[in-house]
Amino acid sequence: MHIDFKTSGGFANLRLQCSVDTATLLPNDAEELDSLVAQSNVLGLNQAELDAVPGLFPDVMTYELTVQVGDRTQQLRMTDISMPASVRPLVQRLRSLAIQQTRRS
Amino acid sequence: MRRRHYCGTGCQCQFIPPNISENLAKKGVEEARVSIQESQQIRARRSLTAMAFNPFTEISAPESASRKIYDCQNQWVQRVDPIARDEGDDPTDKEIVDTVYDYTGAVRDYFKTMLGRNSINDNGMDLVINVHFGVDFMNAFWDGKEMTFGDGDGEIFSNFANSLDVVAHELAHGVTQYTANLEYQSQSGALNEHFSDVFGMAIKQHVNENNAGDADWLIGHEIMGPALYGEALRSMKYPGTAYDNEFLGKDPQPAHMKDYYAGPEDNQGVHINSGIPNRAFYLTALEIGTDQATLIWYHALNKLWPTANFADAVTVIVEQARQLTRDGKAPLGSPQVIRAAFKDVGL
Repeated sequence: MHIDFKTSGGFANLRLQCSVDTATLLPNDAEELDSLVAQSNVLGLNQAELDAVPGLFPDVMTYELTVQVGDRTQQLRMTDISMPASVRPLVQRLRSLAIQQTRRS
Repeated sequence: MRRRHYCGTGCQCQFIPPNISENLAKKGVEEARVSIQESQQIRARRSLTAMAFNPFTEISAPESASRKIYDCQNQWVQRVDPIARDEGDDPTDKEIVDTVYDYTGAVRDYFKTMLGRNSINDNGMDLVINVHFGVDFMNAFWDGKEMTFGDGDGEIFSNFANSLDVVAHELAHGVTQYTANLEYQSQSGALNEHFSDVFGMAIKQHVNENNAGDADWLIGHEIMGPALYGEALRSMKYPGTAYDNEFLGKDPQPAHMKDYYAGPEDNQGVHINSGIPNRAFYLTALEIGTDQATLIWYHALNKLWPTANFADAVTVIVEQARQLTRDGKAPLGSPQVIRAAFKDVGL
C-alpha cells in the first residue's frame, strides 16, 4: 500500500507532507497503518459527500490523501470540518510520519 | 428568439447582475453592498448544514456577549457539556480555560470601547470558544458560529488558545463575516486574513500597552513549541521573515505585490498574500498610531464587500481615512500616510 499525504492552510498555513510505502516499513508499523486505513474506510468514501459539507471557513486546514492499494487508488480532499471521525486516527498518524520524515531530511 | 432560463443546480440567479451590484458597491452605494451580503448569505444558508452560520437567528435576538468556554476534553467534538466556564463564573483550576476566558474578554472589550462594536455581530452575540479540541490538534479556526482551538503537538506548536493575537484573530474572522464577509479565497481571502491579523495585533498592543514603535509585530510567536523557539508565524513588519526551519519551511509571505503568490495552495494564498496589506498597515500605524490606524481599517471593513480585492481595499481605506479626518477622528494627513504605505507595497 502506498499513501501520499499533504496538509495546507490552517492558522499557521502548515504545509506537511509525506509519502509512505508499507513494503518499506517495519512489520509492526506496516500492520498499524493497514489497520488505520481499514478503520478509516477511506476507500469507501465519496469526495462528493465530503464536498457537500461546507468547509471553506477561516483557518480551517485542508488535508489531501491518496491511498493506493493494489490496482485501486483513492484520492480525497477534506478539511477540519468535513473530515469523518473514522479518518482522524489515520490523519494523526500520517501527520506524525510527515513530521518524522521532515526531521530526517 | 429569446431564450428561456431554467434554474439548475448551483444556479445563482439575481435580478440585478452581480457585476452591476459590485460596481455600485465600489462607488459607495450602501444598499448595493448590503444587497450583495444578503444575497450571499441567503444562497449560503440554502446549502449549509446545522454546523454553519445562520445570520438571521443571531441578528434578530440581541444577546449579552457572554463568554461560553467549552472544554472538548480532547474529543473531536465541539460544545462538550458541561460548560467549563460561563460568563461571570469564578476562575476554574484549568489554565487554558481561564486564559482564553480572559483573552476573549479583552477582545470583546476592545471592539466595544475602541470601535463601538457590541460583540461579533454588533448585537451582543455570545462568544463560544472550544478548547482542548481533538488530540494534538495543530490548528485553531472559526466555523461561522464559534471558535475552536487545539492543544498543538507540544513540539512544533503549543496550545493555540495561549495566545492573545490568535484568539483575537479568530474572533475577528467573525467580525468580518458580519461586515464585509470577504470570500475566503484569493485577494478577498487574503484581505480576510489581513483584517484578522490587524485586529489581533492591535488588541495585543493595546493590552500590553505597546506602541507601534516598540511592538514586535509578530503573529503567533506565543504558540511556537520548544522545537521552534524564537520563531513566529507571521511578521507584519517584515513579511517573509517570521520563520525558516525544517518543520515549517521558509515563511512564504511577500512584502510587495511584485512577489504576489498566484498559485492554488492555501485557497490561492490567503495566508500568504496577506503579508502585503499587513506591511502597509504596519507602515501606517508607525506614522499615526496603531489604534488610530485600526479605527480607519475597521470603518473600511464595514464598507467592503465579499469579492473586494486589494485595489478596492486601498480605495475604501483611503476614503474612510478622509471621512474620519474630516470628522476629527483621525489625524490630519492620515489619507496621505495610507496612500504612501500602500504605494510602498506596490498598491
